[in-house]
Amino acid sequence: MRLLLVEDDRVSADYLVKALGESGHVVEPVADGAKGLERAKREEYDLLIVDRMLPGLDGLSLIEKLRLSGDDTPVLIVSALGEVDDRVRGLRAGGDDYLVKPFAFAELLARLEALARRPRGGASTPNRLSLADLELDILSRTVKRGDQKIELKPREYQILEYLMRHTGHVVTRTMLLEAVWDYHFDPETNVIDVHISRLRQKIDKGFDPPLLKTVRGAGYVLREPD
Amino acid sequence: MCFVSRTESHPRIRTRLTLATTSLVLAVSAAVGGGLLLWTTESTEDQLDEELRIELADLAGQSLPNQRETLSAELDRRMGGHHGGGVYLYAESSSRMIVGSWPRWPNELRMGREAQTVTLPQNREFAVQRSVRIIARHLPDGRRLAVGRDITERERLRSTLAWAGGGALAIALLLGMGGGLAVSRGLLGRVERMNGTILRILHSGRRERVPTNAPPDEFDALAEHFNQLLDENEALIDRMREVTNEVAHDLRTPLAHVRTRIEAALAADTEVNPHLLVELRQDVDRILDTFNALLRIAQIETGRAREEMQPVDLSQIAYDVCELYEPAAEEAGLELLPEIESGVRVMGHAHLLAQAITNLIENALKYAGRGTVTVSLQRTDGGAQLAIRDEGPGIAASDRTRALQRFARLEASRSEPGAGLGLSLVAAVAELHEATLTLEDAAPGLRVVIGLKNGLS
Repeated sequence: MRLLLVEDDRVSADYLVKALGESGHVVEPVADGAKGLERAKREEYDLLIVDRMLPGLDGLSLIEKLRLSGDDTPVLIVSALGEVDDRVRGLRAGGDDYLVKPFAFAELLARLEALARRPRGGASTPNRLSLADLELDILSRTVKRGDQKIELKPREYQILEYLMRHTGHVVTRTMLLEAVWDYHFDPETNVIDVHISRLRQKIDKGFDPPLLKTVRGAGYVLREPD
Repeated sequence: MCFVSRTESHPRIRTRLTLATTSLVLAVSAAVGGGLLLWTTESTEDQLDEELRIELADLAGQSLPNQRETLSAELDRRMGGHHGGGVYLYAESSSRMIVGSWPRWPNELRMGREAQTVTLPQNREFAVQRSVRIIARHLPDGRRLAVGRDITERERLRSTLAWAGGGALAIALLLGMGGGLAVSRGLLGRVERMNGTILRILHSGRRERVPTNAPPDEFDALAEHFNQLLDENEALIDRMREVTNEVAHDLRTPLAHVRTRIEAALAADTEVNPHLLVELRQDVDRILDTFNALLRIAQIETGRAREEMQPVDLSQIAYDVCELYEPAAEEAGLELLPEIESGVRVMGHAHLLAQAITNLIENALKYAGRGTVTVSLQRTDGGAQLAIRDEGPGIAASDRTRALQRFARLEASRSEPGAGLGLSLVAAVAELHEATLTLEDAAPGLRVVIGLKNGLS
């Protein structure tokens, strides 16, 4: 992916350029809001990473101006301001996701990939998601593996649906908390792990191959084995 | 801290008060006295002048063949009558007197229609000099005639009146000033004493209070309120000091760990062990967690979130948190039991309420270690009661207040992980919702109760 990073903190910017580069992405860093907006309008990017507090033009104004010009490139806002209200303001300004600093790199990467996959311009969502012999019917909210129907609790169903919409991509615990529970705080206990292991019991146990994998230090991924 | 220092006060109010009372007294006295004086003088003078003009015209009109004799006789008669202190002068055109109350025609007496006041020096007849209001004219035969009235007594009365008025005015002035001073001294003296105490407190930082009297008057009420302000302020400052201390204390341990680990890695003089980096990251994460929790509490305490309050389904919120934690509780060998009345709605901040319940459940799971954790919610009169109860060791009655304070990980639980900010956040959320927060003995275990008042039917 080709990414524009608008971030005035040199240490963070240097680190992200290097780490995202190692993950196979091309990152162009800009340290100033006004210049960031100019660059975003002039060139074509897959994704924008925008810090909220910037010299020249603050991040939210940058996004608002960009959206006014008709540009709908996905934007991930990164900010030290982490209250719910801050997040709401960020998304209202036109951001697509909001990540609070400090964050783990794996978290950032997972969110970038999820954003890049998001269908743009309101493409129709399929009624049925599938991976190998695992099938999920969105209309009837039923799950089958092979011919066997699998009974899931509502939350387990929501977790699975989210994972299946992001098949092949890492989903972090925080992403699940936000998407399924709409919680924007990190509990001390690893509550998500237990929910995942219950879900795994139902969709993977007794089936072959296992589809739901744990990615150490990052989260989970639903993927067919190579 | 920086205080604006005002060692001396300018007694402006005292001056103003004194001036105000004095001017008031002065104005009233001057208006009454002056009015009286003016009125008596003006009216009687005009009246007298008119009388004199009429009498003079009357006398001059008696134009008879032997006018000199007739007029002299008439004047003699009138002078003899002594009625009303009449003064008459009748002289030849050369000013030589024919007949008169006075031996000579006064030099300053002018001829004309206007009356004038003439001072006649003392003589044999009059022991003192006289003031005479007089009017004089030429008769058709060239002789002179003047008619006047002795106004010495009246003038003396008038001057006495003026003196008395002036005196009264002076006394009023003194009284006004004195009164103003006395009033201001009495009232402002207390203000100044209060000021003195406040300045001492400002400069020395002493825990002094402004003295008050019983029964209290307005000044005592002021002093009382000021003292309350000081109490509150001091409590806040104390609390702030404590928190600063605790933050420093709490962060020193993980920071020391970080330093030790780096030190050890440097001394080992080998490739950096990835395991060490993982440990370092954990240490730093703990420090960041502490800061984040502190910031979050501080943000809640600013009350900005109050604007985001809306009707929320507290039953659903509580139920969702229970559902999130139920598998984790089971994994830890505990039972999480929701006893939630459905459809309980309150005015609130959904997200913060969820986080508060989360913190309480996490605390229960962490400290109870066994048994059942019960999350109950029920409607109350005008609100809702939310309670989280565990069957763990509980908190001693003497420690319960302290447990709600920031960083107050009680000695018994010092070894547990966590920044000790969980309950402080709950307290901040409760305060934001104007709810009560109490820790109770569940015998065995701890019961944390949040009493919400702003319920919706």
